[in-house]
Amino acid sequence: MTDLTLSQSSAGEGARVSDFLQLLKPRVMSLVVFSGFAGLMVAPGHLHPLLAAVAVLCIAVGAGASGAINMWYDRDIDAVMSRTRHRPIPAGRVEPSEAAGFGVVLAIVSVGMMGIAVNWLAAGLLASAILFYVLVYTMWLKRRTPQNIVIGGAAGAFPPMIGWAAETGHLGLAPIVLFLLIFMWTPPHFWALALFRSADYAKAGVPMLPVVAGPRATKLQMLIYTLLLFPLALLPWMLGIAGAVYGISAMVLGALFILAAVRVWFDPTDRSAKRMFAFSILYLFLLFALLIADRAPGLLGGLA
Amino acid sequence: MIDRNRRARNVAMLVALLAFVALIYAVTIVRMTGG
Repeated sequence: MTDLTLSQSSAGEGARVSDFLQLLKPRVMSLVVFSGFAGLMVAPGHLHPLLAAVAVLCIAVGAGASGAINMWYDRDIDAVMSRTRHRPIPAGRVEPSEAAGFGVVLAIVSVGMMGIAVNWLAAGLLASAILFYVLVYTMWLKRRTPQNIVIGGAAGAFPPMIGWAAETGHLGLAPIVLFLLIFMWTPPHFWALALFRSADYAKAGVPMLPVVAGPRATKLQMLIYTLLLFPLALLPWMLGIAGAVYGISAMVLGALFILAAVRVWFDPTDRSAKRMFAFSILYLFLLFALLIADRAPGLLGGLA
Repeated sequence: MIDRNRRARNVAMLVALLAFVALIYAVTIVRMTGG
């Protein structure tokens, strides 16, 4: 066996379990699981705790499957970008075909399991989220338009709707509001990252808004989205899904998010964008944590 | 090194498979008892 064949054959065999876990994008998965769990908690219904746990597991596995398929398709641009070049496929630790197979199998298992164990509406929504992320965002929009993450963001907004559907078996205005909340949050969240990673995206030829339209236009768009998000985040309170503690907190958090966008607008360096990216994660986490706390008996129930 | 990685992967796959089967059993029991 020559050196060449040795290095080729060792790509997949040298993979560790942690490499396959990395394919599932665990950090993205954690927020997806959390928002899905929030949908489940907020929805009215009495799903058996085991079936609720299975629903959350299916959302987690479905999100992971999307991540693995995304890493398979984007392996060429991942190899160019410094943020992603250490991922298992560009680093040569996992074969592309292995990652694709892993993702597809997990996607089928998660959707099938959701349908059999919980209900087929939740399974259909989970399948839609996976297909939207893979086909619409990854394969179609990401490399073609600066609006990629605006439309593609819909995939990440599905989890609370899936959670709601798992609990109730149907949809309504409330889960759509939760969907819209994440949908409107995604652009300022992602563009904050794209602002301080724009050189990376430009190198890989990905038409992110800061690359195509420049930082000024991006910062203005970010500010507009945070302004649109402010009243939207109050809707769960107005619709009676959440209480006053949520409502007041959403106002404070929304104002801080707008303030972060204003700071980014005036800051010629990347510093404010980095801080806004970190805050955006905290913002969404706290909003959904408050939604959950509102429904958890003994937590905020007496205050709201 | 490669052998150790492969063994770890095989064990992980076996554990995942067993957990999956156990989950299917648990879900079946819950659904059959009207959960």
